[in-house]
Amino acid sequence: MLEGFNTSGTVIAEHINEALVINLWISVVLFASVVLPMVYLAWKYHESNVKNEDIENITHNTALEIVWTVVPTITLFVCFWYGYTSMVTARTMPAANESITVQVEGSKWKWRYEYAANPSGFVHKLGGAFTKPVRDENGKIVQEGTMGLSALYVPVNTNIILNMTAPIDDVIHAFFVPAFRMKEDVVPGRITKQWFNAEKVGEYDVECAEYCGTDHSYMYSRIVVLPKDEYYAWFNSSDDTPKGDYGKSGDAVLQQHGCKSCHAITTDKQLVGPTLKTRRLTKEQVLDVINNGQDQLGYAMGAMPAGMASGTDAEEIAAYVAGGMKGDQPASFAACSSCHGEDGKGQYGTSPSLVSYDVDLLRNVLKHGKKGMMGTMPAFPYVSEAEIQEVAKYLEAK
Amino acid sequence: MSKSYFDETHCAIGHPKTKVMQWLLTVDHKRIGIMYAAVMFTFFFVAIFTAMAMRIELFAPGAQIMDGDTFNQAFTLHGVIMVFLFIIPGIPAVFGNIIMPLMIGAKDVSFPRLNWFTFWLYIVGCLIALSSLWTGNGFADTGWTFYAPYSLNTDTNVITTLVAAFVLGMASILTGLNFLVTIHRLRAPGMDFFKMPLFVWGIYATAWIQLLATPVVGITLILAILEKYFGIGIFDPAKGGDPVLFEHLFWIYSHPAVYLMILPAFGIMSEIIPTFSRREIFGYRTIALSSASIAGIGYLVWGHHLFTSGMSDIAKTIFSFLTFFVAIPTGIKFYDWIATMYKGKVILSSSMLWALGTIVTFAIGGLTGVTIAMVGSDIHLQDTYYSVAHFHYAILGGVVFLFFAGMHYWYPVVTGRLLNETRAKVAFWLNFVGINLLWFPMFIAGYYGMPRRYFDYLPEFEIYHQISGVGAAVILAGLVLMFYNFLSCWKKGELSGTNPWNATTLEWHLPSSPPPLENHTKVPYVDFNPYEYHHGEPVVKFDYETMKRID
Amino acid sequence: MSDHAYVPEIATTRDGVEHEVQGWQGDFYGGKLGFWLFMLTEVLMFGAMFMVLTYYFTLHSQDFLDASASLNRVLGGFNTVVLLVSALTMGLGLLKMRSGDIKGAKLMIWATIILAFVFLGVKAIEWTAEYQHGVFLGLDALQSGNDHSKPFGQILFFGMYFTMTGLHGFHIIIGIGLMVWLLKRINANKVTPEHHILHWNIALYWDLVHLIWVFVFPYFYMIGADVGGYHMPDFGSIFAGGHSNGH
Ligand code: HEA
Ligand code: HEA
Ligand code: HEC
Ligand code: CUA
Ligand SMILES: [Cu+2]
Repeated sequence: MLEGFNTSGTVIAEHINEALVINLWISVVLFASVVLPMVYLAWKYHESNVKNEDIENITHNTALEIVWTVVPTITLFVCFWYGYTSMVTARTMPAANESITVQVEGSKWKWRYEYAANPSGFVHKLGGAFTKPVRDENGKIVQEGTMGLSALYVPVNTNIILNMTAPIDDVIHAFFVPAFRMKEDVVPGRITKQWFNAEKVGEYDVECAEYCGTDHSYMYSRIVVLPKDEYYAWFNSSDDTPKGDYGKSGDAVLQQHGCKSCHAITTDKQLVGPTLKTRRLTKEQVLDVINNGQDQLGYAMGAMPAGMASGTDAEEIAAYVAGGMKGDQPASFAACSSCHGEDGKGQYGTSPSLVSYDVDLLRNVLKHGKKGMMGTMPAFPYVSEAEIQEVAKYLEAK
Repeated sequence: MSKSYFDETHCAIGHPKTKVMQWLLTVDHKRIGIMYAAVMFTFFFVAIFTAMAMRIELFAPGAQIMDGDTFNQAFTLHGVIMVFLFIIPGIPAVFGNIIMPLMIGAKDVSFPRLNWFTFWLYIVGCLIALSSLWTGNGFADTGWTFYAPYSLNTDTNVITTLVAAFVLGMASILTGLNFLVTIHRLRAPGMDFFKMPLFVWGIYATAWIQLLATPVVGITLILAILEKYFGIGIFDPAKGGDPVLFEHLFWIYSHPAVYLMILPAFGIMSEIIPTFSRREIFGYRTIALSSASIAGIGYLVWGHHLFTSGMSDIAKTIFSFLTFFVAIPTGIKFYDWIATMYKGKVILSSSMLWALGTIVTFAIGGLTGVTIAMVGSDIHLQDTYYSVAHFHYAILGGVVFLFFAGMHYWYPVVTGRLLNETRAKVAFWLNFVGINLLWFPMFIAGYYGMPRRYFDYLPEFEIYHQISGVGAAVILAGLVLMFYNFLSCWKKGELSGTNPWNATTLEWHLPSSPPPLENHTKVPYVDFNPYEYHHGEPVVKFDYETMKRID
Repeated sequence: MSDHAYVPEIATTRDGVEHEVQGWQGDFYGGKLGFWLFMLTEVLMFGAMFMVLTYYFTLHSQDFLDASASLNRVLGGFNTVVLLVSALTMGLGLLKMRSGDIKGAKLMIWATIILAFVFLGVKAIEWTAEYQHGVFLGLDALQSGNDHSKPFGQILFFGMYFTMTGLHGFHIIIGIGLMVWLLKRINANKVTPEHHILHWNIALYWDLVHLIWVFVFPYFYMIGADVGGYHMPDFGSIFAGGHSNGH
């Protein structure tokens, strides 16, 4: 992937690349100035070519010494100068009234963007987590990792200023756009800034370049540079994503709030939380989980965080999750069937489907019961570990 | 055969009978140096092991053999061991101890008991560091830089690692202090500062860095520990603290620390080149003074690690400007070494091969350092594999390679034996080819935007990581061969005599090899320069009974 | 490693001129140089903390003044006097040792030890009082996000206060240990008027410890002395330009 690297579509990128190229040539010359004489001398004065009487103890040569001090020094000043001027290009913020300012928030492990209110007072909030590629046991990718549709949408040929920060209890990240050769740390409790002006319509990848823990290597995002009219059409609307290729909104919104970094959507895979490919929850129930979080199922990660989304977004997600996602029976399963149905797929309104439950979840539910969204599941504290395993294996086979 | 320091020793407490206790309690600088080497060597294999595990993990995108959290612990373990347990004590603790007193004609360091205590402090530090592998929630996953607030938030065992780094820092300070006093007080009569061998200059400059920079990181680590235990707030933005302050305090030490690694290594280079060119070194004084100026300027440039941290632009400009001034004395050294070969008689022994090979690899490491010292370029390259490749070329291709050069060069002094030259040369070529395969592709990957500390990466970087993986295997083969050579020749190698290389400095004018317990029979009077050759033969000769000059 | 009388070696030049060789044994100046270098590292360590302190002072000056005002200047001042007197007794002890008055030297060391304990006792009273007021490491007042939380600047002030006075107190304790050890060595006749480098170095150490306090005291106790009545000039406005993120 890494979109757009060779496009180099900004002034900053051009200037920094120029600095790099000049530095490259200087380095090659200086490298040669050391290594070529070395190889030559090692060959010329190799012991097989030299008689002891010919050895001379030369310890000084003022002219030469001045040359090899002054010339590299000059080249270093050249390097400094290009480093300095390209930094000035990168760091001189354009005037705010000639630019679009976007608030960027980096947190473990997602990027979020907030725009100024548009003419009708609507505030666009975008961004979210990258969905990790899902792999099977052999490491083969069964579900591609993707940034989905969420991105930082900006118009072409316009100054964009990023005001960046991280939540106060989070850690340092760095907003790195290789294609634009730009990078700056995002520090909790501080506001740092970057700017760019993209000259080419297209997509560019964003990476997190400051180590931030478990999913540091998945903290990607995208910048989508749009033609001006497309951008403003979107900006002035209250749509989540621009028209065109950008908007299967349910998926995009799910994406944007970072659900997909923890929940699989199209497979039965358990990531951090349970898969959402299931029909067992109603819209209201999902809404409840989104608003209040949930911490009952005993996943290693702990709680499902509250307030991942709100308002119309949350409703939309809830509808999406609730609506779209979908043997020999061991004797011990008889205890479950009364509530969960013969096939374990749940009975409408009273008990959830167990089809996607794994061992951890099952053990927890059986030991502690489960209170909540669909009435209470009674606890079965005396179920043995072996039985749990058996039930789990059975369910898995479905 | 005369008794050597292997046969008898002085001890810190009493007069133990058993051989083991005589080693554990020894205050003899040579034995302590050997013990340091043995311990470092053991830990270093742990670090190599984690490095290889990382390389395997990175061989293809996605998880191969570990998950993301384990990978994060792996590079932390690798970095912490390599930096704090191995390369910072490194050359000073091993050759500073064994060779430096011999070179200045001293019987031991100024405080032999303190030296013994320091060694054990070092061991305690190592044990604390490793203990966190098994206690608490596993080894720290912060990276060797321990940046706040990540290190404050993570629930892995960061405290133990911080304590260990602190203890190791104390050991480092005490070593530096010991060497400073030794060099100031115990030089043989007549040896003024400009008659000292250049390795001693390297150790001297290093000792000042150890002394002046380490306390700052010491207190930084203490603040971080208190922060984790009691939440004093100093680096925690949630209490008004400033995490960037931590970065400053950390690099105020850790930048000078990289010169602390390289200066003694440069010292080794300055010994080997004249010896195997059979002539006086070119520009003795400039080399000596450039060590001092690298140490001095090295204090003022820590900010080049913070070019993208949100530091003010003026500060960036100043730090960038100053950084270039470190490259100038380094460059001068390089040209002086090259010029030393001119009209000499170049003998490509294994130690000389290592030295010349290092000129190539360190030049790459140093010149790429110049790239990232340019603020603009560093905005793009910071925290990518470009900087990782830079410092592996500088550390592995500079410090470690010269460490190996020193091990080949001084092997006869330490053991009284010669190495198998053919084996040594094959091992050199494997290492040399290996390092270039291992790290050169990473410059390219870094330039194309491959960030460091990534457990998983985008498919287009796969090719670079695969070449790199092959390089790691090649270098490992070279290493194994080399260490096999060291170990097998210890007992079986040819006897070397006291001066197999026709070298000039005092460690080659000992009465026997390996040297006796109290080094030189008598202390010589030094009225000569360290590298005096005439027509390829050392000028100065001694009568080893009286240590009077007989030339 | 014997304590036998040390006979210096002689190195002879080609012309037969003899030079005394400095060995590591009995190297009085070496011992002193080493200790001075060690003290340099201590200074750097506390120096770094003062830098941190100053940095936050510029960011949160008013908070710092308020927090400082709440410290007990009488006890702190008393301790300053105690420490200064103890430095005097330590110095007198060294003078007596050098003039051969071993008994007097021991007396002075004892006096120093007692003063050191007085210092620690007063410190303990202060810390206890602060603990009872709810201001202590780990207590709510110094944590963020609860009802008792102090403002950012004060949290930082007290964090540094406990760290630095704690570390300083730790140095006092080590000093007491060293002095007890010194007394033992004097009794065992290992430290004598002719060979008193240990005494000298411990006296140096004690000077450093009190010197550090001489900086710690005004920085923590005095900066807020006037808050309430007359106001000190606002240092913050000089350095920081007021971008405190505290309140
Ligand atoms: C032995 C260790 C060592 C050495 C010697 C150096 C030497 C140098 N280093 Fe490096 N460096 C590290 C170890 C080292 N470094 C480490 C470990 C890190 C990363 C830490 C981390 O983040 O984890 C790092 C990171 C690092 C950065 C920050 C990168 C980033 O995070 O973005 C920078 C930026 O300026 C830098 C610059 C330099 C420079 C200019 C030199 C100069 O001293 C180099 C001088 C040498 C030469 C120039 C080459 C030889 C000379 C010639 C061939 C002659 C002619 C040439 C000239 C006169 C120019 N280093
Ligand atoms: C001394 C320093 C040192 C050395 C020698 C090495 C050696 C190696 N390192 Fe490095 N490495 C670091 C210091 C070092 N490293 C640091 C500080 C980091 C940053 C960590 C962080 O991000 O926090 C890092 C990070 C790092 C990464 C990046 C992780 C990431 O960012 O995602 C990788 C990836 O493969 C890697 C690989 C290797 C490999 C394959 C080797 C080796 O296998 C190469 C082979 C080794 C040798 C040829 C010689 C070694 C010999 C000795 C050490 C001497 C023996 C001792 C005696 C005889 C006494 N290292
Ligand atoms: C930080 C990871 C994480 C994120 C992000 C996340 N969840 Fe969850 N989710 C969990 C965990 C863990 C659980 C199990 C909680 C428990 O133990 O009860 C869970 C449970 C749920 C459940 C209940 C499932 C069941 O079987 O009872 C639903 C529905 C749900 N999440 C929906 C969402 C939606 C919608 C979003 C996005 C707005 C989201 N989650 C974001 C971790 C997450
Ligand atoms: Cu966020 Cu790395
Ligand atoms: Cu540096």
